[in-house]
Amino acid sequence: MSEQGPTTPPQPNAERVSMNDRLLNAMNKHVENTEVAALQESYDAMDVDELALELAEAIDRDDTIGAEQIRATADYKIMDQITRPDHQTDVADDEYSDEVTKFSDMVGQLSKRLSSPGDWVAPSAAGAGDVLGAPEGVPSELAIGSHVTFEGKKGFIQEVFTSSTGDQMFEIMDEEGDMHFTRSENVVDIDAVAVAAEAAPAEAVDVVAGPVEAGTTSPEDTATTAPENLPTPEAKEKWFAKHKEKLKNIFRPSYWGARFSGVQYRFMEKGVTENMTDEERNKQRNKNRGIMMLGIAGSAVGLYAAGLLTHQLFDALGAHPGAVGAGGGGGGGGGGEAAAITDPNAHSGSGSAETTFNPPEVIDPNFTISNNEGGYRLLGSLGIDPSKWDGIEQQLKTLSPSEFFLMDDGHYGLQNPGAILSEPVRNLINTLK
Amino acid sequence: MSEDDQLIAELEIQNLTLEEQQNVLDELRMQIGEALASGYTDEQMAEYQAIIDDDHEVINAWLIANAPDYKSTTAYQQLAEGYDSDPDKVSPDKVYAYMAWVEKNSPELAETVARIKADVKANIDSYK
Repeated sequence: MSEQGPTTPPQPNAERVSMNDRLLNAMNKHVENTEVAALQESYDAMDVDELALELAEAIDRDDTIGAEQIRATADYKIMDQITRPDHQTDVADDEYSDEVTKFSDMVGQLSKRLSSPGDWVAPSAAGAGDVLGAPEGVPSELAIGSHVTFEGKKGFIQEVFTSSTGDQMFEIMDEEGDMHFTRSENVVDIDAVAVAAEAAPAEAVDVVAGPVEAGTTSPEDTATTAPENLPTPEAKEKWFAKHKEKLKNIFRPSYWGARFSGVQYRFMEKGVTENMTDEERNKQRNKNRGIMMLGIAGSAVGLYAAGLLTHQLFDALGAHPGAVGAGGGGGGGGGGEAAAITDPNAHSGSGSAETTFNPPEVIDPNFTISNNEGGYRLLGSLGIDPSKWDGIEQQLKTLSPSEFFLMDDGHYGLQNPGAILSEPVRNLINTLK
Repeated sequence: MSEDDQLIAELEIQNLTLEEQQNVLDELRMQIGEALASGYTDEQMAEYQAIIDDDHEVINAWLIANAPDYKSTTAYQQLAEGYDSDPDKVSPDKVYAYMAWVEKNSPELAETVARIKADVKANIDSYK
């Protein structure tokens, strides 16, 4: 990852190669740290069942650090549940022990399933005919793709885990695109309820289908066969509320600084040759950046194709008249836009000189810490005597209060693992060198 | 679950290292981008490039011609939220036009993405 030599196109400028390597290292370090923080955030949002699956997967891929992080989160959550509602300190040891045992058993079962598929089988193979998930008296056959409600939200089952003892757990994607992992007794089988309602029409039953698995149904099919799958305005609002920052981030300079992986870096250099002028190189890189952005948009839209980001979205909102179904397809659409892009004024308004890709400022990647690291570690990695931390920590806190916090031992810690320290802080620390 | 996590699950690459997973996802996106780009004319690509490069004239012209009521949409309103305090001043018009442009000019987007995902997955599986 840090060495791009064998696969990086030849660079005529040695200084730039060095700069690119440093940039790549900085980006990778930042990505690594960001991933740790993001992972913790995602673990915090999970319930104990979901953490069990995460832990099982971590164990199966020998991710001991991740497993430790997940286990600690689960332990806290179990403890938190037991001591609620008033966070009593007199914890019932037996209850805690029972819950931990249950959690461990679940992890063991799931982990076993992942490494030995024969122990956990799909419902069709297991002949699951009366699984939990439907109201009493309503026959149910929950399987991948089944529409369900979970915690008040509609969704569909993405994966089913069935143990040799018949217990089932489901991975569910809800209408907002969030994933959940839960026991069968926590979900309601919408389809089964619908069948029951049909059999007894006098009973009013609210049945609305959930999203359809991306890639399995074309938008047209969805629109004609299941118009109820159109996302509601509320669902759209929630989806955008959740994803708008990500969409906007694609246009931030920091995104292109922080997200470069080896593959992205090589792609960015695709078509860039030794005999190109700087302007030509920048033009090619900018073109590559555009294609990368196409892929980012494409994969996002593809994932939620039948849910929120298809033609249906804009059509339903009335913002896309004639976008689909006019019979023109790509060619027709392109023809209609020719006037806009062949206008010489419009096109020359953003000449290549103004649209070059400029790598962000290169910052020493050591100006950050990971979880459970502190000021001593920070200075040490910067080649500064760690003991100098004691003499500067108060100044740093005063300089940038949001980046530091007072620890129990009276020293100051770094508030934001994974984040590059601010420029004023970096400058002050650099004075110690 | 993030989009990345979902892709990782779909491609069944949970057992790879984080770096390997990231490379697979990036490779997938690169292939999707190239496949989509290969279906556009030079004029379409120029228009797309102008939109992502924040050429206001092109963005405005495209939005007026293709989505005149875009400002009243949920999508736009959500994208516009927080603009005043955004240090980068990422234009909601640009982001909206970018999404809508890709959608409009890629009539087989879902199929393309699904096909490439299947190809990438098959390629990975062949090494297992």
